[in-house]
Amino acid sequence: MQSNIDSVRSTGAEVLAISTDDLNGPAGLAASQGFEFPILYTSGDPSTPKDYGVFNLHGDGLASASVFLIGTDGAVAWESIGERYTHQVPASEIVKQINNLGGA
Amino acid sequence: MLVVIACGSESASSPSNNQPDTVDRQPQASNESTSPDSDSSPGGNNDSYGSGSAMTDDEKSGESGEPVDSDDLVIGATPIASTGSSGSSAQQPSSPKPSEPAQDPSTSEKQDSEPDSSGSEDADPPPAQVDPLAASQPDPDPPAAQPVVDLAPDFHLASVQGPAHRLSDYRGNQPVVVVFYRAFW
Repeated sequence: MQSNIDSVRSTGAEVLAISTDDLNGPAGLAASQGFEFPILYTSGDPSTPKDYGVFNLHGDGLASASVFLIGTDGAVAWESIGERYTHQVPASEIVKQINNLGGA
Repeated sequence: MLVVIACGSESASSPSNNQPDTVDRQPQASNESTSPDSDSSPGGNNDSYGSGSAMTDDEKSGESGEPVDSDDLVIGATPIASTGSSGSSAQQPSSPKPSEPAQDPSTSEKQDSEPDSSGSEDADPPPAQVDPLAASQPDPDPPAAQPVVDLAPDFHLASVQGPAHRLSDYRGNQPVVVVFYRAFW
């Protein structure tokens, strides 16, 4: 995961990971190890995943695994909303979409 | 004497018979409206009652016509027959037309109760995606800079590493990949 993130960050984009899991426990500490990109947590507040329309799609009270590419203009340039638990977006796809931003 | 008495008894008995007859006629009048066979017996007198009742019944029938209530359908059966019998008089076909505008408020009241259930059903499905995105538009945007930009919903969240991050801080500087993830991808 870190290597994939590095490839994404090499394009000049920042990666903000948002977890709706409880990262205050050991899982949060483990998840933060070795990750240079910010891992944000919502502290149980579903407003942000709700704003992005990815909250509770599976009925489990968590955000669905999804990726949003925000351009420098602040708009969502590309998105991939996970419809399954195992939804993953290849880093190469994210890099491709970042390069498609043109101005990035 | 006997004849007079007999006449008196007959005359006395006849009005006694007439009173129950009149009492019977009123229910008959309602029944006559349902059964067109008894049109000859009511004559002109019952027509006045029939027309007067037909006005109210037409309004009731008009009310019951659209919303389909079982109680009103029973009431509505009599004016339908009365209008059919009154079709010969050809005066009442105009009455249902003016009664129609009077129907509207009553029907609207009855129809309001029905859409309420459907309205609640409609209120359920709308996803929360559209509103937050639309609500996020007017937030911090300098509108003169870029005409129409649907800004991504801003957030300001603490990070596991410590410092909090605000999405809008990156605007104009670098693109951001926002990843909603579950503990293990």
